[in-house]
Amino acid sequence: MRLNLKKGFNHYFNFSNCYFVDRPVISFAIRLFLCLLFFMLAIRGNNFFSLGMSAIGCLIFRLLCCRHFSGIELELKSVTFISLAAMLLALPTHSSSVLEFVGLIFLRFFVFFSSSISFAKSLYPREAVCFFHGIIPLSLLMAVEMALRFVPLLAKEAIEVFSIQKARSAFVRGTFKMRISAFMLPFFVRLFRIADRVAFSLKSRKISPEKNRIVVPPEMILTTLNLIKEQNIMSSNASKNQD
Amino acid sequence: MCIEIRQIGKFVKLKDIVLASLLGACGGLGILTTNFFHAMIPIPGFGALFFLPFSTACIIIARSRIDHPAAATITKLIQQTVILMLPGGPTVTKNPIMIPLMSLDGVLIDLYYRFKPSDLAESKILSGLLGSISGSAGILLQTGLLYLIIGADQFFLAKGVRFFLGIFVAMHGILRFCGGVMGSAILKAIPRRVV
Repeated sequence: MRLNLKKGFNHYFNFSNCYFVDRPVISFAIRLFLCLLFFMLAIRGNNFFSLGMSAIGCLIFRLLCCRHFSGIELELKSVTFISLAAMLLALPTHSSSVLEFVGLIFLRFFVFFSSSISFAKSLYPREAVCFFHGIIPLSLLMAVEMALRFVPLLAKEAIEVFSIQKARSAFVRGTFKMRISAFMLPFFVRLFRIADRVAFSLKSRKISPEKNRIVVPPEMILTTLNLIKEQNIMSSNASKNQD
Repeated sequence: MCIEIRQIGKFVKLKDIVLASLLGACGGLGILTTNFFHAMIPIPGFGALFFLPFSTACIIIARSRIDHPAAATITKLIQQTVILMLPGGPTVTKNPIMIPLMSLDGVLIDLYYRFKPSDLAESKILSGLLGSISGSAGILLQTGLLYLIIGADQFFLAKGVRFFLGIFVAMHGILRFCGGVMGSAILKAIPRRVV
């Protein structure tokens, strides 16, 4: 990624990748199992045949999870970089079988990286929360769910604090410590304030982390999201036609 | 002992859960800055110049502010879950199997605090060392995973890997030390409100 200062600081805090839009073909449980299976295959596979078959399996897994191969070139780039670095390091020690060594490392890292990224790309937070409901303690589940819901708000707060302090030219003057604390202190004061307010509002609504709560099925939310998306597309098309 | 183990399974206050989740979300959110820093300094590893100290500071703050035996572990677990969902950061963090492995530093901080509770707001060096040592231990565990993936023969024959891993662990240690000191300074600057 090249730095483009014209686009501004906010451009790099892009949340568009976080929102899951396309539905994967396989369920969360199967995806999790396959991800762990590929991880084990990356560790245990010790010949070209098994690792090559795992790599083909990874590509099919990618197709089932994301329905496309976009972004795979970045994975290949990073895996190639790691393999070449390993080759340079291995050259002085065992130069006779270095190509075999690099090939195996390439396939191993590809299987490991590709399966992880396919899983992470197709992960819908609500689906994960619904799956782990009843498996992990309710208080921990509530904490995770709350954290995921507060991510956009915290990002907004951080950008707001950054903009305010920048307007006050707090990042231009003073020592490095002062510049860092000019961002950190107001941000954490805001965070503690939000925590107090949220705790108070949850308590006033008698929400207890120990009690079971209703979990909305992710399929229902996804259907609603897709309907909203279709309606938005239709309305934008209609407005274009009117123009 | 039984009572203590039972206490780990549940939070005492709702406020503690909220604070742990917000600090976890905040630490995890820092992963977005890796894209920005990587664009500025396109050298592997330099993307985490802000993220590592920030996330460590969040864990230190959580350990000090939350009255729960596993506060740092839970905050770190939440951080890793948030990182899994957000874009940015190394690919290793995108694997669900790595979440418990990467929460080791939280466990170590909790263990230390369990046996020797101390005021982290007052001791910057202790906070820094706690962040640094626990973080380095976590990184060493990840190195063990690399040893498993590459294989024993290659790992030991390619001696250069050790050199780069040494630099990697040292960089993490220094950045996490800064994070610990930063966390301690924040704790001192923002006193706990007692109503």
